[in-house]
Amino acid sequence: MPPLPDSAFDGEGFLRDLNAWNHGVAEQLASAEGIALTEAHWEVLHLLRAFYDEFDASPAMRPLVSYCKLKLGPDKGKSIYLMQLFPGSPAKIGSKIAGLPKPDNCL
Amino acid sequence: MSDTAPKRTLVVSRHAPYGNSRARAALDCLMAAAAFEQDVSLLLLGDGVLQLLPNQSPTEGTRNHQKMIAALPLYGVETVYADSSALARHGLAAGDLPAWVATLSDTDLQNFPHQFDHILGF
Amino acid sequence: MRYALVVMGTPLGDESSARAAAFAHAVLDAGHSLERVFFYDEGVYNGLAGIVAPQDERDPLAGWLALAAQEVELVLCIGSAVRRGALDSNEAQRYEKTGATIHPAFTVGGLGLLVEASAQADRLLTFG
Repeated sequence: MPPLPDSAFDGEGFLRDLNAWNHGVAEQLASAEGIALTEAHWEVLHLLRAFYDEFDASPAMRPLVSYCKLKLGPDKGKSIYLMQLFPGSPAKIGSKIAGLPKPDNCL
Repeated sequence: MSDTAPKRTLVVSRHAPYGNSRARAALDCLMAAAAFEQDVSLLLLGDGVLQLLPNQSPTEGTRNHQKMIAALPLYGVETVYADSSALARHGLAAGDLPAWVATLSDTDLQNFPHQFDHILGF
Repeated sequence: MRYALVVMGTPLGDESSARAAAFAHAVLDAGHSLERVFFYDEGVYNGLAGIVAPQDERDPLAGWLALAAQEVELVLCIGSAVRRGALDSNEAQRYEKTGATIHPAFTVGGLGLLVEASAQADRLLTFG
């Protein structure tokens, strides 16, 4: 599938039409963040989407860590693990790559 | 009291989930406080207990309150307190409720708020 | 005593926001401290710059502007505000809208600012 044009993303790099998300788009979003997606990234991206489906909201850092612990085990349910995969702000950057709604910066 | 003394906060939510934005506002506020590692609890009073109603199915474009509230244990809010008289009035039995809900009788409710430093009423 | 206030009523929908402003002034007049008023949910409409009061009716902005003049921080919850069109210039740009709609005496900020004010306050009051 060809990459989406620049116009598919807003000024902050968020996907405008969330229905257009697929694995190729995730690769594109990740590379804009300087991240090359590995299996470990995908595991968390799928988890973020599962969180969204289950709880109808994108997670803040604390529940994301708890959810990873619950679903992936204690080694991966740590903020340091998520920080290594998505440096800076894992919940925010991970959600962006996972094609979840743009956060309203409420925290 | 010093600036750094940890405060216990009770969020009191009295509105049904979808008629206005207040129940959602209470939940967002509670989740923000929990995300910042504050000691915060939720009490559902009166029509607020309708937030626990099973099988909610809001119209497209409205977030499902039942799903959102179910994330609270992941935020470190292990127990949600609910007014037992209101539950009975709305025909909600203990068996309809998630395991993380604790019910409080009218007598319990008289003393319950006293353990908190702040009460945020919604 | 350190106070923090949360305002959730609209400027004219009921009396709660007017009461909140009057209470805030009373807090300061009594020598207590009030560093921040946090406008949440429907309360963010209090920060709209375009509010025009008829000449013979109360101007809902006036009470808040007088507080700002006394160094009280007026913060609109960013999540509540953007949903309701109350934008500062940053948010207007972020969401590709034409321009700011809030009065410059107000700022927009996250719920963390309420959490912080609450953690530091001896008394936390909600209006509306």
